[in-house]
Amino acid sequence: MINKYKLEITHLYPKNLNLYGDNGNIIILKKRCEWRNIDVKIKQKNIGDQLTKHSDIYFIGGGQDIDEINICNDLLSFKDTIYKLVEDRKVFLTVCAGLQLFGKYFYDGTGKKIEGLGILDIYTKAPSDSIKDRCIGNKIVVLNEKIIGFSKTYLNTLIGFENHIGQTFLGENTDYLGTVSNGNGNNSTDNYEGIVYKNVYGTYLHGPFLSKNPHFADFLILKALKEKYGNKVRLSKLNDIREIRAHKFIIQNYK
Amino acid sequence: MIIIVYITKIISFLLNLVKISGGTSLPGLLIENYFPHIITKLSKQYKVIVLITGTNGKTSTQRILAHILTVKDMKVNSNKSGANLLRGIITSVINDTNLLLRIKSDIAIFEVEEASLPILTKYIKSDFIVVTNIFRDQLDLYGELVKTRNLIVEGIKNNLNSHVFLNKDDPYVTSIKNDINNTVTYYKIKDKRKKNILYEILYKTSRTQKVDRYIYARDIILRKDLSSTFYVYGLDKKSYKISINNPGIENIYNTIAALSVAFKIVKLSDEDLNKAFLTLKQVFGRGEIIKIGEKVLRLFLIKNPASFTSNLETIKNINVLKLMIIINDKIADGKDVSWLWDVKFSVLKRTNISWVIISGKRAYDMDVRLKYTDLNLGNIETETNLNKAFDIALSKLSDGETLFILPNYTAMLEIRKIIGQLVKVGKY
Repeated sequence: MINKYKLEITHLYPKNLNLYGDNGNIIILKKRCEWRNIDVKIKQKNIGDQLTKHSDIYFIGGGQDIDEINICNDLLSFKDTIYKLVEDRKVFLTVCAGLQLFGKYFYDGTGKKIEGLGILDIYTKAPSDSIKDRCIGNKIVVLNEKIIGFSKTYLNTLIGFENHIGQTFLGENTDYLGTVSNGNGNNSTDNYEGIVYKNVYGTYLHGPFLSKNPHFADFLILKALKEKYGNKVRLSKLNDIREIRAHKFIIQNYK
Repeated sequence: MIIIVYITKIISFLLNLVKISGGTSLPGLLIENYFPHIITKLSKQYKVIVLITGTNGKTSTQRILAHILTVKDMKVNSNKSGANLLRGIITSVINDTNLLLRIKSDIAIFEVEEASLPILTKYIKSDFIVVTNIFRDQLDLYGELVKTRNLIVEGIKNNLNSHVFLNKDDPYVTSIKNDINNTVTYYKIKDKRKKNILYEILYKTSRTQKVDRYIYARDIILRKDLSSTFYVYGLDKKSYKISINNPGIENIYNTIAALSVAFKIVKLSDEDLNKAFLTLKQVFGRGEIIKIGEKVLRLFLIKNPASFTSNLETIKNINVLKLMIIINDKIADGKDVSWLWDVKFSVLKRTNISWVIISGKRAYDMDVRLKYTDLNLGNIETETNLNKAFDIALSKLSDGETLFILPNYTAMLEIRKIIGQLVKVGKY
């Protein structure tokens, strides 16, 4: 290899938004780069820190409502920068609270309105504060092939767990990440899971969901490398037997 | 009222006779649903009522406190391990009555599940409430951590006259003081080895509590056989040297919490404490030792990132560690196993690990988690069938060697059952 690829990943608000082992996604992206000899650097941005414009992948995870409210103002103060990064086709992975904050607005369980970045054409409402109204459980998502482009010969599903009270609805002409074959999705009614806009990927598969979805982790890594080094970039294949075994076990046992 | 209590006593007796497992809470369920006020009347007969709540350490703290008081010849009633919902506690009170419906014990010590505390304290007026810690645990049941904290606050507010004991090292627990007017005593540990306890950071601090008086443990010695010795200050004018066989830092917390309450109930001397801690048994599944011939098993319950990490911390200095991890995802375990990624496996980075066997319904999730650590784990085997996995483990274990078994809750019940087919194990 002549030039060693380099990737920088920024974890947004890990102190506040890390309720369900969200940090696992960072560990997984990092390891999968290292195993391929890609030079990877992890940065963290918490409340009060500057936001770097130089990362290739940005990740924002899930948290409690109170944490979501706490980081909201800080996040909004970087609105212009984040808009620019998205237009520059940087890769963003937004999960749960992170997904909600990238949308237009979020009404929490007490009816309080929380302003989002408005980058994603979605809005979120929590019907109540009650545990009974939460969408909780193992989830199987069939990827939107039009957007993600996985062929049927490889895994075309995403596996994970969801636990959210916010009901998120997509605006018109908005691309979804997949459809739900088991579980709730963005809300308990319309069967859509997640959202895709430019290189921003949003999902309610929470916590360390990349652990059972190595193909999606690689999809994000490849996307970021291609934006940086051009379309000729190829990823070397890793041995994913253990991850795929965990993925398929859920499909077989939790339908 | 008399008739109802008699009926429930008869049911309870019959259930015990036929040994229906899980039936222990049925009488309590009847009263909970139809006659909750009976429990108010009955519980008033106790001289002292202690409630222990929090994520981890409830059972151990309860057992230690009960044992100390028993050594002082007091009659203590406690609910069974895990029967910590309202019905379990009611059942325990009913079973503690004689035929004239008089309560037999002097003191009741109940471990209370966090969400049950506000309901229980509507019916029972306690004298002491201990809050051990608030960790992320079973978020698919509780939703969010702040909710757990607020449920405990609500529970304490129902018992205005109860003296409350709070773990000063836990920011979430300490913050409870902001919302209550009860008398509060804090306890803590002065030792840097507590750094691997995964206390949650409370980012929104409304008021920080100025605390100048607390009970604390220091000069802690942790030994290779997992026993420990430490000094406790602040119980009264002098310090007390305590030695326990219950493993790990978390049991030092449990011990000082128990001592803090015990000293409010009864006068205790060094001799009393020596006697108590010499005869204190291991709590089931919390470092418990079981022997199969010359092979030794040690069981450590892992329920959440905090208890998993602290148990790894406890066993990290074992030479040539042989490990079995069992992860289930039943309702009692939490259906979401995302928490495995919050466990700090790096505490084992200097541990010499010989082999690891992974089992349970979610063995593959655990397996992937281990793949992404930087640890040298020796040989890893994954077998979802627990019977088979245990056979493999036993065949790999030589005489005189110890296997450390780390199961989560229902996995603990299953593995004890399997071990029970080979040797006698105590009731969990």
